[in-house]
Amino acid sequence: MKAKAKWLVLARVQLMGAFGLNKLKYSDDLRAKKRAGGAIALIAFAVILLAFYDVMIALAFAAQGAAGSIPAFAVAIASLVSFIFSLIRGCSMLFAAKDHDAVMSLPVTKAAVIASRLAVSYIVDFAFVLLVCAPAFIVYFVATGFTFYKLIAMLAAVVFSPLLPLAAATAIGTAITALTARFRYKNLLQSLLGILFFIAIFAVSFAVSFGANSQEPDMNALAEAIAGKAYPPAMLVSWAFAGKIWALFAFIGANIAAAAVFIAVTAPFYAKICTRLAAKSAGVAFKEKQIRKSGAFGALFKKEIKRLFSSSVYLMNSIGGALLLLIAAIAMLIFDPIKLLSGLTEEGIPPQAFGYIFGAAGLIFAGMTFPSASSLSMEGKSRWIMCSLPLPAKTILLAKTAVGFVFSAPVALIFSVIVCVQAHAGPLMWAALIAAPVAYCAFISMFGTFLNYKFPKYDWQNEMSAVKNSVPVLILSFGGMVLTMGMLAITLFAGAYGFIPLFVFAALSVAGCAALHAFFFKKVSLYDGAPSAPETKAPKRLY
Amino acid sequence: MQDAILRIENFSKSYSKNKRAVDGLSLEVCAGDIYGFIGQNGAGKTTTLRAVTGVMDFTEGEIYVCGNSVRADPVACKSVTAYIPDNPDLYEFLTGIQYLNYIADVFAVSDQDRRARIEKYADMFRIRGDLGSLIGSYSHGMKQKLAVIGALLHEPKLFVLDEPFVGLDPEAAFRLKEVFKELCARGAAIFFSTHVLDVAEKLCNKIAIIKGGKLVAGGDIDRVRGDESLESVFLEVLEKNEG
Repeated sequence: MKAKAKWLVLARVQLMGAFGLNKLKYSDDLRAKKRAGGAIALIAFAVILLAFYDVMIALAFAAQGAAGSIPAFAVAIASLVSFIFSLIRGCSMLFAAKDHDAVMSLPVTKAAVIASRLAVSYIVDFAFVLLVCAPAFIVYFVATGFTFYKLIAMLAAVVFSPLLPLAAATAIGTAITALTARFRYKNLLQSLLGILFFIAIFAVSFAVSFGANSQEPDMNALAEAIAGKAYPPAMLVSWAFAGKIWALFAFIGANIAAAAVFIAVTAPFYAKICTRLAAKSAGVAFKEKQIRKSGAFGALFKKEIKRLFSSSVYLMNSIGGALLLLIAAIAMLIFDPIKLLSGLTEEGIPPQAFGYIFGAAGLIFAGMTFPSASSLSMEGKSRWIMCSLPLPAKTILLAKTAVGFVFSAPVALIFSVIVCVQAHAGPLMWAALIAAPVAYCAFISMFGTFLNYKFPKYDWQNEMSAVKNSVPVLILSFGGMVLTMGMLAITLFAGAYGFIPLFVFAALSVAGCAALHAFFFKKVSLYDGAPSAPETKAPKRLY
Repeated sequence: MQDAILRIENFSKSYSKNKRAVDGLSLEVCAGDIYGFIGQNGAGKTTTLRAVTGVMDFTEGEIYVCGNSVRADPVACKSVTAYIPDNPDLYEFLTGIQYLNYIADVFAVSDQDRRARIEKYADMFRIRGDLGSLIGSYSHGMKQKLAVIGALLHEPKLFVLDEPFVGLDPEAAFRLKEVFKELCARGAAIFFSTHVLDVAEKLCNKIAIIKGGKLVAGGDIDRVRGDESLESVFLEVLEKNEG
C-alpha cells in the first residue's frame, strides 16, 4: 500500500468508531437503533432551526444593502466558532486515544496517524461550516446573481475553511498538552490553561468588535471590515467573491498550509508527548493520614468531582455555560448594561423590566452546565465498580447530579444578585431571579443524569465521544437553548410583569425535579446495560 | 448441613432471541467453599458472575446471596459481596489510597478497620509504597492487587472473581490463595471462574463445569474428578456434551 494512502485507511477506522455508525449497522440492538433514529430526528430539527436563523440573518444583511459581505461574514463566523469548538474539544482525539498503542505499532508514519486523527475533527467542523455557509450563500446568490465561478468559490470556502481554525486550535491544545505533560496534575493544569485561553479569546473578540471602523463608506464595506478584523482570512474570501482568483487560491493555500505545517511540526514530537502523557507521574509517598473516612454520598460526590477535574475535555465541555455566565457577570459589573439601556430608551422603560430580561438571559448560560449528562458514560469500562456498590441507584444518581448543580447554581446566583442590584429590584424580582435559576439548575442537572441513564455510552475509545457526541448532551444543548430562548422572548413581552413567567418557570422546574427524584427513587439498582458479548449481525460480504 | 452463601436457581440469560448465554443454571456455594467455575470461552461464566454480583440485570431464575434475592434486594446482597472482574478497570484518575478510601466509605467500613485492613493487605501484596500514586500509572498486576485489597476491605461473605490469577505475579497469586483460605476459615465463600485447571484442582473443594450456558457437571471436586485428573474429566465432559 502506498504510504500516502495509509492515513486514509486509519482515518476510515477512526470515522467508523467516532460516530458509532458501523456498530449500529452491524448490531441487532433495536433499542440502539431507535435511539439513533431519535438522535437523527433531533439533529435534523436543530439543523433546520439553525438554517432558518442563518437565512434570516443573511436576509437582514441583504436588506441593509450588505449582501456583498455575506460570504466573508459567513466564513468568519463559521471559522471562529469552529476554532472555539476545537479549542474546547482539546487534544483528546490526538493524544488521549485508547487505541494509541495499537495504532503506533502499525507500519505508518506519525504524520499519517496525526492526519487520520484530525480527520474526525475535520468532518465535524466541515459539517458545521457547511451548515452556517450554505444557507447564507444561497441568499447571497439570490441577492447578487448566480455564476459558476461563485459556486466554485463557495465550494472552496466550505471545504477548506475548517482547516485553519482546526490547525490553530489544535496547535494551542498541543502546546498546552506538551507543556503540562510532565506534571503530576497535568489534566487539571490543562483545564486551567484551557479556561484562560477561553477567557482571553472572549476578551479579544470584545476588543475587536468595539474596534471596528464605523467610518466605512457603506454597509458592505463596514460588514466586511468587521469580518476581516475578527478573522483576517475572511478578507481573502471577500476578494475572491469580488472576482480576484488569486485571493481564492491564497485562501485555499493558507488553509492547507496551516494543516500541513501543524502536522509537520507536531509529527517529530508526537511520540514523545504521548509517552510523557502515559508516563508514570512521580510517585507520592503514601502517608497513613491519607486514610480518611466519609459518608457514602460524600465519597461518591468527591469521586465525581475528581473525575470532572481529571479530564480537560469533560471539564471544558461540561461547565462552559457556568464559565460564560461568570464572564457575563463580570462584564455586567464593569459595564452596568441595565443603567446604559435604561438611559437609551426614549419611553423610560424601568430598569426592573431589563432586570427580568437579563435574569432570563442568564438562564440560557446556566442551562448549558450539565456534567451530569455524561457522568454515567464517563464511567466507561470502570462501570462495574458503580454497578457492584451496595448503594441504591438513587444515591449514585444524585451524587452525579449534585456535581452539575454545585457549579451552575452558585454562578447563576451571583449573576442574579448583580442583576437585582443593578435593576434596583423589589422583593418580587429578588424572589423570581433567585428561584428561577436555582430551580432550573437543579432540573437541568437531574434531567442530565436521567438522560444519561436512558442513553448511556460506555464503550468509548475517547472521552470526547462520551462528552460531546452523545444523545443526552445533544438533547440538553438544543432543548435547553429552545426552552430558555423561549423564556427570554416571553420575558421581553412581559415587561415589568416578568416575574410571572419566571415564577412559572421555577415552578415547572421544581415539578420536573420532583418527578425525576421519584424516578431515581424507584430504581433499586444500577445495571450495566451493555452485554458482555454483544450479538452482531454477520456482514453481508467479507471484502 | 452448611449455610448456603450463594444459591442460584434456574438462572437463564439471553442477549438475543436466538441464543441463550446461560440456560437454567442452578448451583449452591456454601460457607467455607472455594468453588471453581470452569468452562470454555463464551460458555456463560462471566454472564453468571455479573448476574450474581448485581452488575447485570436478569429476568429468568433467582439468585440469593445470604438468603437475600439479588433482584429484589440488590443492595443487601452487594453489601456482603465483593467482585473482581477479569480485567478490573479502576478509576485511573484516583490514587491507590483514594480508591481504597472510596470503596471503604461506600461499604461503611470504620476508620479503625479500614486502617488495619489497608495496612495488612497493602503489605501482603507489597503495594503500600505505591498507594500514593495515580492508578493510571499502575501496571496491570498492580491494578489487580489494588482491586483485591479494595474487595477485602469490608470482609465479604461472598468473594466473586473472574479469572483472578491472570496478570498476578507468582507471589501475589500465592498470597491471593492464602487470602481465599483465610476467608473460608472465617465462614466466607469464594466463587471464581478460571481457565487454569491446575489451580482449580489444587485450590477448590467444589467445581462446576459449564458448556453453552448449561451446567454439565458440578459438585465436590473429588466426586466429579474420581480417579482422573481434572483436565481429562473436563475434556471428557465437553466431548460428551458436544452438539
